[in-house]
Amino acid sequence: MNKVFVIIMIFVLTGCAEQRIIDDLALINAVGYDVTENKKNPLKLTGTFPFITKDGKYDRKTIIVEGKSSKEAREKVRLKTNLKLESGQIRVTLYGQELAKHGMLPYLQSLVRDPSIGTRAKLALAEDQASDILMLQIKNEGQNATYLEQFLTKLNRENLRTNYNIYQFLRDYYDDGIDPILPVFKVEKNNIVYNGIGLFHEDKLVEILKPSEARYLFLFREEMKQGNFVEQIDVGEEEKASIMLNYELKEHHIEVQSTAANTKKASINIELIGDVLEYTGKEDVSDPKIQKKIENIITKKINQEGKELIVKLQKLQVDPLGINRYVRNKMNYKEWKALDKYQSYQEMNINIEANIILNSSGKWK
Amino acid sequence: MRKDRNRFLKDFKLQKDQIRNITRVKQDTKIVRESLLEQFITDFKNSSDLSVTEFPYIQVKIYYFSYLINKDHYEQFLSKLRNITPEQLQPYLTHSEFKVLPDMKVLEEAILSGNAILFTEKQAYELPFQQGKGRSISSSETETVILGAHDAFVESVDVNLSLIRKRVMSSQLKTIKLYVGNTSKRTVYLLYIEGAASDKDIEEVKKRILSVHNDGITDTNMLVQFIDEHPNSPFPQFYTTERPDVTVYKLFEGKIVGLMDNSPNAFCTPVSFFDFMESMDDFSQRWIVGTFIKIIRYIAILVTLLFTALYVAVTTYHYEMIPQALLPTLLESRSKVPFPPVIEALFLEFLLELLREAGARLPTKVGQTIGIVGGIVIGQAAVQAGITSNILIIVVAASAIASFVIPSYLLSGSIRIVRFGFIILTGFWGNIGIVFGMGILIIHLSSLTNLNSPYLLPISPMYPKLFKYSLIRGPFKKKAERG
Repeated sequence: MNKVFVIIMIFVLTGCAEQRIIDDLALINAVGYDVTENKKNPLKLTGTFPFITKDGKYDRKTIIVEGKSSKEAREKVRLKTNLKLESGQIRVTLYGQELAKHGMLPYLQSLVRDPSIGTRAKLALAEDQASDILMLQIKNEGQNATYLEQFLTKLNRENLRTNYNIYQFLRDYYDDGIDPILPVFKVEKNNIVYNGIGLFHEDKLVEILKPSEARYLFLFREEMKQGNFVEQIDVGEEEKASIMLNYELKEHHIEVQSTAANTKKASINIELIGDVLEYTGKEDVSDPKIQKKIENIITKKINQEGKELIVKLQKLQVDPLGINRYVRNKMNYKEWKALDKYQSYQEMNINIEANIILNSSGKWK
Repeated sequence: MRKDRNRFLKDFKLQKDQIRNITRVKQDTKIVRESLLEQFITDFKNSSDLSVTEFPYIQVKIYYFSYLINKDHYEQFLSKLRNITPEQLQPYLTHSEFKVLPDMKVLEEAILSGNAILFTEKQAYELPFQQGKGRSISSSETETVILGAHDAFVESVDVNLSLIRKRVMSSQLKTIKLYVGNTSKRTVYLLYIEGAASDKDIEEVKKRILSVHNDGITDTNMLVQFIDEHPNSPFPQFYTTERPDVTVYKLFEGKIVGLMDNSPNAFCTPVSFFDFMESMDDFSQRWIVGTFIKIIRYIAILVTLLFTALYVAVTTYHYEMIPQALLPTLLESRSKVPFPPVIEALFLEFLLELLREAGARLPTKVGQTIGIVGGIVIGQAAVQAGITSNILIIVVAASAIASFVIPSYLLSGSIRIVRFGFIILTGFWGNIGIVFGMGILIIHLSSLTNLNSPYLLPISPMYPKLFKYSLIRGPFKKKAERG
């Protein structure tokens, strides 16, 4: 009898949890943040969520509101739909370029503070306005959020390690020795396309690297495992021939050859093993002599162009490669705290020591 | 060697004791001749189905239930009796097949179990015309195996005993005969292997069976409910089986087996939860396959317990858990349903239980129709009418299939009941309800005992060494070590 009473009390006293039955919910799957000209409501929030039309079709609805803060804008979105707004299914958050330049942290914090949003929600930048990308109706492409998420996963799988979620961004932000990066998307011919990498100084966007520049960035980052290298090179006497390598990163280490007092020199050593998949020139790629020649040319090219990129990064005072982490490992905490790290980073002489080995000429001679 | 010899001597002694007992009984027999017949007639006064044949010439009366005895044997006996003179009668009746009945109790049992009773002037004899009427041995319907023996117990306890005796060719197999009930005495045999089973357990089972005073017990499955420790638990505590090979396997594991007359089920005790998860097929297959199947069974239990509950939890409270790819289908199929997921799930589960029960009770041919009608009504019409969602049908069907994977019908019934508890709990609390329910279930299971041995034996209390004998199906090589 007592047991029955206790069980009844458990059910009655605790009451019922708030029900959130999925067909009554607006499950926001992507949000975009932009700044507006409007002084009063400086934030533009775009939310998109799937809903089922009356005839049972899967469709999406996108709502744009302007507000003072992220959550205030969200309250305004709530007034514009008959469904209960829930943000637990957010997959992608997009940030406009303008907004990212002012600093991302307040918006990230409002996401992290919400317990229903997981830290695995992906982040991306919009080259212009985030709302443009989310509002875009691609033909036969239902949810922009799903499209973007798949796009980001694909980029990540293709070894452009751009799978940046909230956790990774904040980790790199709070780590003294490295700066976060985010992939950039833009609208082009009624399609959403990947358009480079945004470089951050702390939480502020500094520069967007074009995809062609960005590929060296990934080569020098540790996470890279394998990738492709397409280049116009000049092996023989003739005009430039295009070559494509499929390579694997065999070795990667960053050396800071300096003491605590004098942090002026660093080198990035990488060793690539590649297979030639395409070569339009006339030379016999399977010939060891030619191979050696190609190796030298590519090595020189990587060293040279990589150096240019690094100088650019140093000038911008962004450190997406995490050079400073290696500097930090060389000294104790006091010295590290006393160091003006961006100043020293800028003055550092960073060399690329690339080594390319041609493994085979592919299936053809 | 020495140990064996000792055991042999002990056996020998025991057998001698038995012989002595029998002789003592013979000496003690005091026959109250006239009163026995009188008492018999008064006891069976209103039995119009009792037949009697009289031979006034030799002063013999034979009473019997004509439908219980074997008529051919009886006719043969009568033809002999007709040619017998009063002098020849007495020597003829000393033949070993005719047993002298000492008192009314034995007599009553003899006639009710299908023998004829012969009253002479002085004594009452049992004429062994018991009819072997009943189902012939056939394969088991409830516990089917693909490999392995196919015979199953029948209603006659003698046949069942012979099925076991044929498999245990040893004098170590001991039987105890007991009677259950007040007026209608039902025979129960307790079987055990001497040395393997614990004496304390045997005494305990005996005591419990003798303390049952109910007359309406018709089957072993009923009997075990009278003698188990936790009658209010939904879980079966005595393992009942139709299969002689399982019974013998359990005997050699040191368990006590009970057979009841007119019941094709044997019960085994003490058993644990994991015995219900075992099929004889596991042992017929190679141990890797057997273990794999056993693991699948444990997954199946979880599926049937939690799948529908999880659907309810996810669609009612935890929308965050839904994978992106599943969201469109789930939203689409839920959009037409007017009820909250709990009602939807309970409705469909209830419908499925109805269907299952109807299928089990109906003859096969009608049962098939029910299956088809149910399949169409539930699978198609319910979705089109917008009463349930597509995904729920898959979920419920999966958990129903998983419930059939559990080899023991008794346990699968229990799990079905518990599943409804889980659905209601998740309807209130979501995932917390599942955790809460699992907690209560585990507490309940670990507090159960079967003949004072824990229900979750190798897990709680923990004996990792026994895992390969009960939790999984380990290789036999290891098993040989244990004997």
